Amino acid sequence: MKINYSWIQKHFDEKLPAPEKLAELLTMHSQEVESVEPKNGDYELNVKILPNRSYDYVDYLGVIRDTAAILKLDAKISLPEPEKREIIFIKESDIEKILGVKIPEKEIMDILNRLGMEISKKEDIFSVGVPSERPDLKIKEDIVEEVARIYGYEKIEEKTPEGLLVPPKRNDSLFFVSITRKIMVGLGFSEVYNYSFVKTGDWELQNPPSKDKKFLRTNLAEGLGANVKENGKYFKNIKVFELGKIFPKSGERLVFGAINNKADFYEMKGIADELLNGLGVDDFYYKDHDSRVAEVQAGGKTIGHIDDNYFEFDFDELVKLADESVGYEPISKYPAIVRDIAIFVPLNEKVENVLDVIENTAEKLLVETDLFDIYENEERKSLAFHLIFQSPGKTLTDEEANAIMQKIFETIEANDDWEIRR
Amino acid sequence: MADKSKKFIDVTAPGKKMERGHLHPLTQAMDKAGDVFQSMGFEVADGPELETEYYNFDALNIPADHPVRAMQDTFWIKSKEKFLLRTHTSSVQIRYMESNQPPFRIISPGRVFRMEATDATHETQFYQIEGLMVDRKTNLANLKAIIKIFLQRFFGDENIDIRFRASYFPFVVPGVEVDMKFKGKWLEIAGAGMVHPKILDKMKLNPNEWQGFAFGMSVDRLAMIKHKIDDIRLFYSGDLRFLRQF
Repeated sequence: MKINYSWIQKHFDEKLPAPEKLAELLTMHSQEVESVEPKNGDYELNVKILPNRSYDYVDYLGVIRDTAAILKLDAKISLPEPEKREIIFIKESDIEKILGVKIPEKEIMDILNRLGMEISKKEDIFSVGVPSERPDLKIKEDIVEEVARIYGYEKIEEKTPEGLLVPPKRNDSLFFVSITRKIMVGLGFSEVYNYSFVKTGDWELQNPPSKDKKFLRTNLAEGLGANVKENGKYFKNIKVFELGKIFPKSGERLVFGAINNKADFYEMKGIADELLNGLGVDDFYYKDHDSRVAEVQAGGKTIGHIDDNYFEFDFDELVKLADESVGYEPISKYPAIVRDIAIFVPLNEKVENVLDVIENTAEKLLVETDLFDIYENEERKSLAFHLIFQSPGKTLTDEEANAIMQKIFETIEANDDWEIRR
Repeated sequence: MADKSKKFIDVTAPGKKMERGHLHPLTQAMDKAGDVFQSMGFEVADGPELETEYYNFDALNIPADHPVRAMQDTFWIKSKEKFLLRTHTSSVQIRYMESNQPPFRIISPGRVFRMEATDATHETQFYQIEGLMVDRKTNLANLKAIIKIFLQRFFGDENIDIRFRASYFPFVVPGVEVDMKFKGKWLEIAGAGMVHPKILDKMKLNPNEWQGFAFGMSVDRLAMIKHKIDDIRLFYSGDLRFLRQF
């Protein structure tokens, strides 16, 4: 809304501050003046009138009243007495209670008077008669605002709140999100934020920003895939992740996805292991999946999927399974014995099956199995393990380790398709 | 004196190339803000991005005919119920107040959506941090202190000053616009005010017993000022040439 400086001046006998200065005063105490432009020997104030004042600001000389109140001047206004006035009651102490500063009674009355209110006081209660052109003033807090803005917010001094020193509650979701980010960054992944709007999905916008942004995303994979493609112009190895909301038909979920364009399934699985261990998720395992390489199971639910170089986890589920408590396991004081074993198995044999046999046969003294080499030829593959034996209570002898190894050899060779590589 | 038997190592040759990952600058900004506010006793709350009209508008005293509800400002979903994408994280404050008892001290960082033509300073999605403190005596002078302390800590600059300007938001009264004096210039940084009694009333809190302040600011803007970033769209570009700088 454009308002002429001379029109405002016309309502006052005293000379008003220069246009720029007046504009600044109005901006601080009344409505924001976006610009002041010289025009035909006058100045034009471009005022952004907020919706609650659009009714009175110019038509009912609200700007004149505001100017009068700010500058403590008497304005020449000849409007008929409003047909009716709503009365708002306010306790003097309420003004201080809300603002945190004590404004003298005289100043409160003066401000409200110049703004066109009828004001009287009985004991400590003000009775404020609001003119009909100010329908934005309905409750006592509105009156406090009128007083405060004219009095000047700059005169209200900062006060640190009083209160109990109660530490805030932890937000679990955010806590584990933060751990996840740290793990991923440590593994060399960078974080991206992609758009929530995509071409296809389950939730459609009534008013999409563009044709290719009509739906809410249902996965993070597409965005991350696009990140790899775009960054491929400048980088060879691209490792990025995102934590964000997706919107499948069933509703909103928090999801975590990561991609590494140079990785294979086993590398992504290694990262998933590290992450799930880092979050303290117990007893997770990997299963074949129809359309993707693997699904990840924990707590009786599918919590994520791995494709060749990409994985995605349902973070709402992960938060439920995550556990930050770590139980310390004493480190054995006795030396370990390492033995290697290599086994030929058919090409389609799963490592898990071989490990099960080794672990069940060796029992407690086998503390770690480390698959360090997989070698395939056309007919079969060879799996090579380091087996680490250790007792929590004594130094193991070679004979004891040999006896366990002998048992393992026999069990493995009991399977006709398997053969120890010697 | 150098040991002659020592193997020759050229300390001026480049080190082996290592690659650390990088946290998104908005994550870093929200973490930093979260740390400052948590140290002042504020809890971090979150809520859904896909919201109902009630939590985004009705509960916040935004009238049914208010222009922000229109299609040119808010993304509405094609659905039987009136779903929308939240336009601010004030909805989180309502959800929090419904299920907790005062006093409240919370902040709610999160992604919000506005129907806007995009340019270097406008995006259809961005991040906000909103704060809410409700207690028996929490006043406007307290709001001033909290925002000033936050900005000084966030930018690591004790010289930062703030000022309040008269403004209007349906959910606060008095309502103010907050400017920050940063390196000699006044910049708009937040909207704030005292929580409107109607909202407290809706939350079944007696406005004569409880009062407090609320504020909201754009995380994107905070990060842009902090790192001198001139285009908001960079945050959502996934461009590693940008992200690796943080």
